Amino acid sequence: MKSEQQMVSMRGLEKSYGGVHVLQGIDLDVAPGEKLSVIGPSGSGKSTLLRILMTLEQPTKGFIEIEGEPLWDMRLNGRAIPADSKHLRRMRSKVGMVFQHFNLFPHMTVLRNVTSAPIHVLRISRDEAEARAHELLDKVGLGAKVDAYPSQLSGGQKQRVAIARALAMYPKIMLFDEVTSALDPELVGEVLGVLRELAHRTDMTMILVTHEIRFAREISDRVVFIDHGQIVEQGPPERIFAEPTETRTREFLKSILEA
Amino acid sequence: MSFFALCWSLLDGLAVTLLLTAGGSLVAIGLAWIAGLGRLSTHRVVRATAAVYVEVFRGTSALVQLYWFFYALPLLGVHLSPLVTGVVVLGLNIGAYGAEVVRGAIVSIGSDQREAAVALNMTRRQQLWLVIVPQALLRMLPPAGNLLIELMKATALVSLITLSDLTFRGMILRAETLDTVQVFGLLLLIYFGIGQALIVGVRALERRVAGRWHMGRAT
Ligand SMILES: Nc1ncnc2c1ncn2[C@@H]1O[C@H](COP(=O)(O)OP(=O)(O)OP(=O)(O)O)[C@@H](O)[C@H]1O
Ligand SMILES: [Mg+2]
Repeated sequence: MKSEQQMVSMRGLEKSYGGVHVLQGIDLDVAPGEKLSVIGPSGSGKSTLLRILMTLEQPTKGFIEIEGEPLWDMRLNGRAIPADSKHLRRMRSKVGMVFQHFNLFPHMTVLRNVTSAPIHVLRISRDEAEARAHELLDKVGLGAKVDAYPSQLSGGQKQRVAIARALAMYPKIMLFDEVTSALDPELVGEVLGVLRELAHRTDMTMILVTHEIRFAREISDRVVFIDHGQIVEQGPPERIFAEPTETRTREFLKSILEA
Repeated sequence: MSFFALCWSLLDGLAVTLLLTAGGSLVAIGLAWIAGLGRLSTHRVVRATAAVYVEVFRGTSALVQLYWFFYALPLLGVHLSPLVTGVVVLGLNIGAYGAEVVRGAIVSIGSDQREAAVALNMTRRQQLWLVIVPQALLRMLPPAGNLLIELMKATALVSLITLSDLTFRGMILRAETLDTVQVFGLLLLIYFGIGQALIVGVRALERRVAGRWHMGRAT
């Protein structure tokens, strides 16, 4: 089956809240190790797409597979039934997410933020978790901040901790939802630097929702433009950004380049 | 009777009042957690049981609850000493209010925290105990402090079920000395003093927790 070569595979994905159709039939495949950027206007459904992949939101229709396994359903005696919590947790272990507003745990030190899930969820020893956390925090340039609390960090530092925290769970797929858009402009660079390293140095599958066009162009294998819950256009960044075929894409790019 | 002699004769009563406050608080805290978390349970029966407990004990008079446990329960074959009755009823009554404090603080923690925990693949239980509860604790402290004071003040009710607490001793003393103004004035002062001590204690705890996380006063 072809879909089994894909890391993520979505077919006819729909999501509505009440009568509002936020996603209206998304078909999208993401290859293992691919770096995919998702762009689109505010309210177009980009976050919703990531949140469904992270199982924070349930699709109204359609299906998603991760590594060929259905995310929101499971098979029982050949029939598809809604996923139970055990299935969801197994699927979730493949996915990690970094949020726009960091969502760090304010009552834990930086080190505890990074080690608590590995210790309690992956059940690795505290020593091992701490050694790995130190390694990850060094990588994101925060080796000296292990004992600080989140409230003592700048936005850029918080986001780098959040990235280290997600990486500590060894996800195969990492989702980044506008991870620099809550930051002061002078702090954006340090976070993009970390993402760039990840994109170039790891074979993790990365899906980034971003407004940083130059950055998306530099690190993505493919760019998807979403508007009104539909994929309008997709392709290699050089083409999407230089010669978009759809008017809506052109207009969107024009509007954010002017901003 | 000298002021000092007055205080001295009230001391025994003070001990009973403090004992009731301490015991009642322990029962109340335990019940508040059980019922507060129970109201958030995924099991309908657990949720309903907790809700009934909270509504019954918030919705009826504490004095009548006390009378029921003291006069009615023995008729049903359950005999409790007056002190145990006092501790149990105060605990049940304030615990019902406390359950709402626990529940309120837990639901007040933003969904972003729960989502971060889900993204780290924590189980529901881990989300609650590792992420939500420690943060909710800080928000519980101020209202819990108020309830503690309510409980302390409510201990005066037990003087009506033969326990010689501070208020009961005060009544006897007034009958003996006929010095109503001084005796009841002194009673007010002592209750106020205990209340202030409790407030100081809870504030200190609050400052310690908030200070540790560098979060400022509970926000
Ligand atoms: N829980 C919800 N209930 C109702 N409507 C929702 C909910 N979550 C999202 N929406 C709506 O769905 C639409 C898409 O939201 P989404 O957050 O996915 O957009 P987005 O592309 O990420 O936008 P932005 O660039 O502003 O982050 C919006 O119109 C939003 O108001
Ligand atoms: Mg969004």
